[in-house]
Amino acid sequence: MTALLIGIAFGFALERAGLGDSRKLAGQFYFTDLTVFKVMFTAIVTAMLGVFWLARLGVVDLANISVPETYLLPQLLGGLIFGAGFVAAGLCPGTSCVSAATGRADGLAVVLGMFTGVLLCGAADLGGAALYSATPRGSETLPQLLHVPYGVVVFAVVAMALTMFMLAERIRTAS
Amino acid sequence: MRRTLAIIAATAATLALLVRDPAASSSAATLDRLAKTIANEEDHVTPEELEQWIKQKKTLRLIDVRSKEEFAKNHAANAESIPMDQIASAPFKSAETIVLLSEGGAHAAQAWVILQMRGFRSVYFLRNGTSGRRYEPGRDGC
Repeated sequence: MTALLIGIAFGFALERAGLGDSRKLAGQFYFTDLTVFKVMFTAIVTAMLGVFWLARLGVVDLANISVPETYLLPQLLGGLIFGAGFVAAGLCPGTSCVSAATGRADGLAVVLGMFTGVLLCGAADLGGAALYSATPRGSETLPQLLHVPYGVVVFAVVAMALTMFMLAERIRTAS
Repeated sequence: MRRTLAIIAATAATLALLVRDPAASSSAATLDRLAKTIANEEDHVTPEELEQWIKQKKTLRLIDVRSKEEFAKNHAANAESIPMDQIASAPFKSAETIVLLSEGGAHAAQAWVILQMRGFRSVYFLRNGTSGRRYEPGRDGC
């Protein structure tokens, strides 16, 4: 039930940000529309600051937050396939569902293609278990990977995001 | 509005540099949780419980942490071999119930700690190991 409510809220936020429109998303790749970047980095900064301070105040126990494990090679390969599909379709999995839900035909086509691809890939067992479990790195977080305090990573990411927001605004006003 | 939000974010991020790392207290909380789980004897299963789980739990995985050579000599039916030196990186899913097996139970208990530290909660080890009085490797359904 919680997942359903969060999913609906996420979809609503994506639609409100205009990310159900494939032209807007494709604009990110050509630097003509930086909405995707701004929306996603705003979400990252909000979540990062929220988790840090809620944990610091004792509201959230970081040990109860599941961190997905990293498998470098299969995830790099998956990232490449994901990116190629994103550029070709102009939509990613989340935004394609939003696009389909709002009645856009391209969104519906991407959702159908995505599920067909997942089904065929699963049935064919491409790569097998050896590929899926190759190059394991465990549940690494940036502070663990970089050997720096959690607060330093939070500060660096927020500083980077705010700097990029300013640059994005300059690009927008210049164009 | 955007300027105000940026100032709030910048302030919160700067203060994050100055306060104590929340991950440190989280580590202490994790150790405390592990200690309580062990004290409450919620870290292991008995052979009788395992027999029930095999019949009831569809997502159950029996993981034998002995060496490949020991596994080849004899092992429980449906058990998978993941030797101790691979347990820290072997892929598991959080939805799975994992029961760890070793000969005397000590290695399985150590593997239990490693998987708990990796974030898997539904992990148990077989009490007294596969050499336990009531446990018979290779027995039907076990």
